[in-house]
Amino acid sequence: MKPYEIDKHLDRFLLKIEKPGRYVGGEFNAVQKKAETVRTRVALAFPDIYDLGVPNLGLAIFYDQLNRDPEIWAERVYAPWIDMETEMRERGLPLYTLESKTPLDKMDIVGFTLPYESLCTNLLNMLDLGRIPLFSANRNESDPLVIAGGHATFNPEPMAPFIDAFVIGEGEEAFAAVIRTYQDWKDANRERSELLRRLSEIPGVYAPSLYKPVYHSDGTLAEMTPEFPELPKRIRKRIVPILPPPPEHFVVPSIDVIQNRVAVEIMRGCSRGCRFCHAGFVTRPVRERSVEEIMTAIDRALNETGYEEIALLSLSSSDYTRIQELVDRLRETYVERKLNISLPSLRIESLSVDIFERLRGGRAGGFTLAPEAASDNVRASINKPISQEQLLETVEVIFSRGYQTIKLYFMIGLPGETIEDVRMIAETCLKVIKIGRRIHGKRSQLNVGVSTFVPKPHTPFEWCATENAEDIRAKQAVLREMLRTPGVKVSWSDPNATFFESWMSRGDRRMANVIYRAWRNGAKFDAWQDHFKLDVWLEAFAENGLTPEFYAARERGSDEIFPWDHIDTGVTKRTLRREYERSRRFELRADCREGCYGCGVNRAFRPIQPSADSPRRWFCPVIETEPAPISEAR
Amino acid sequence: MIRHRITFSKFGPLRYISHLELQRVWARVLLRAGIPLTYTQGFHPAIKMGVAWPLPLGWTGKAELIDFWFEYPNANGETPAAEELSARINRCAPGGLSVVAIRTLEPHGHALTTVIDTADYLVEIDPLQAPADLDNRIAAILSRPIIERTRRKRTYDLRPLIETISSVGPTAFTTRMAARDSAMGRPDELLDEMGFEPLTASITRLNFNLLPGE
Repeated sequence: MKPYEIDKHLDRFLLKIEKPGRYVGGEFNAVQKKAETVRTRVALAFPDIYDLGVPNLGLAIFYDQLNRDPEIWAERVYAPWIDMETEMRERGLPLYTLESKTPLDKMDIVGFTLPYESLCTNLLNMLDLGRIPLFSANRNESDPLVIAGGHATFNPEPMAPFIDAFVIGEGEEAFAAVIRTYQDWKDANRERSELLRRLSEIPGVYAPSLYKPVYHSDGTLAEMTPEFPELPKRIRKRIVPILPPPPEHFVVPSIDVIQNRVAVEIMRGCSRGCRFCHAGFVTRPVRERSVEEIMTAIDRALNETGYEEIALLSLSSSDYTRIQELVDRLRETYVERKLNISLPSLRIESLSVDIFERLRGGRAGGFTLAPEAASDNVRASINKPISQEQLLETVEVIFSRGYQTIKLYFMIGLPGETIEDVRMIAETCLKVIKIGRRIHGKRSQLNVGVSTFVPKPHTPFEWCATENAEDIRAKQAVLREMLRTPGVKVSWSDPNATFFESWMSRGDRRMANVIYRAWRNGAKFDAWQDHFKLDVWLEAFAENGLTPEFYAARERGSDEIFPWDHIDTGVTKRTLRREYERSRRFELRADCREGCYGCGVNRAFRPIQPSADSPRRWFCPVIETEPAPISEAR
Repeated sequence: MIRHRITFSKFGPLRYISHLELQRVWARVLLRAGIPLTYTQGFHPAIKMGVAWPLPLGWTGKAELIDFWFEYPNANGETPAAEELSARINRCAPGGLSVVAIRTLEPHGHALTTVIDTADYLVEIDPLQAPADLDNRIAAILSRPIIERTRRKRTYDLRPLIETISSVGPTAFTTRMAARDSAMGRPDELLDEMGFEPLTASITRLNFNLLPGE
């Protein structure tokens, strides 16, 4: 179908569709180019609906960056909601890019972002709607190259058969390199297999078809064998040594989406070392942007978008070295404007309340803190040591400054956690609301978000089992019972959703057939509670002779080879194991800015680390001399 | 503070943006254009604007109206000319939104919706449903003294809301319908009454007609 035919077709039925504005493009800053004048056409694909995809910062970065190149036209595509999909399938309408209404299979490259695992079936659905063969092995020279990146791809194996190449880690440099390699390959008119081989020469790029998993008889992985001797045994993630300037242009949606705001990343990586935190381990090392750069980016973005909300993103805002200076500058610059500035992930201390207040300029709202655990043992085990006194002190300050609502995030199902530990969460919450009542009486409100822990690859807990659903339900029941009091509202994650997240994030390549079957049998929008179909998934496991328990509910052996071991984040498996053992002894590990404990990341990226006197230095010590080669059996 | 009445077109992708969303789109366009806006007083200040009757989702508007109050002259004593404002707004507008004209009014005049009398529409029927007897159907409608219809569970008479209907070729007609508070003629209702499927027609609101002296 030609673009103009798609456009005409849409007008016949879009009015029957919920939020038709999702499917028509034309937003401010959407990039139009002439197809004949570009060499490479890229679709940036987000495997969930428009409303969630537009605010995604990762794709916004690539959209801005790639479109600066006159030879490249990057367009966007999102997953159609179910009503739209039904119409498209009935009418034989292919999935198309929003900018030019070009069917997906006419693109050169389709790049998916997978920020979390629950989007996998949507990715398959989008390929199918875009008429691209689902399996990489079935694609030929005329099909687009399908690539993927994002945090969930640090374990690429469950999606390996569907993706031609993964970009592991940060894509700012690697994406451009993939496109250049693609252009050269296309000009040379060679076979598809050669494209994959050439791509695999780019640092950080993993072409999974060039690696074969070998399993033990018990189903655990024996090894990952590269097809060619020159392929690296392990694929080291890509990073940018210095964060490039934030994107200059943002697409501004005309319909209301979840976050109508400018997002600026102030810092990447985290030095805290919370042992449950996937992002904390895979995004090392810590790199900061300068205050100047952030201020410039905000100013430009506000003027360009017309938004009145800014979000300053990082994994731990309080750890940004110049946080005070940044907050002061923001206040100076924007106090007159009716701006809403959000600074997530503030540390639990009264200073955070000052920072928050200065930014809000007095506009009251809620205040969110994430203590995660309430007992000393669990806090030590996860390495997030916030004492109860510290929490209650901060709560006291928050309530007494006039805020009436506090939100606290806790996690249950953590390794070694007992029912007593869970009771302490409830007791802590009761103490918090008591303070609230003392200050605000019945108007005080405590919202408690209780998530369930999933042991993630590349973290010290990667050996752990996910707690079974019955035990989780029992723990949730304890909380529900104990927190049945006015002014306290508790929300939690569905144990089935936790179970799902667990097997998806910890799967091996055999999981791909489970995902495929589940999708064939109707699984999609798994992240949407109303749409998650556990029975479909269990059936898909059974059809493939596999069990979800093998992936989710098994404490793994200390010497087990994991399906993601050939993906190298720079942090050594030895470090993770050491941290896991410390966790079991309830031993804390200080913030590594206070003393490097040799996680491996500065060794891995030694050649590109800025020197110690660079203004953009990392917090990792610079390794000056070549270390003796160590054989690193991950 | 100057009140500006902006005439604009809403077409293409923006046809699928709701009335409420359009107001937010406008706010962002003007903020991007760096135009000093007037805000409402109160605890939650909002951009002061006066809207006209909503354009239903999917319809094109050739000359829609919206009022804004701009803080001109600005701190430097400047008041840009209407042409310059139009150009600035158009540079900052998304696809499907385009300024046709801007005129200035005294700040405290009548609200937009109180001065609109009628609206003109162009209705294009899907050629696949091409009727052989469009003129007859128009004549039949116009000859009826009462056209009782139910919309949103309320019964009303469509006939007095129709001022004129004239065919434009075999598959299109223009119509002037009332556009007053509690007297809002809808061409899709008219289409339905004439025996056409409203969803397959394309409807364009050509312009509003204001009361004399406005």
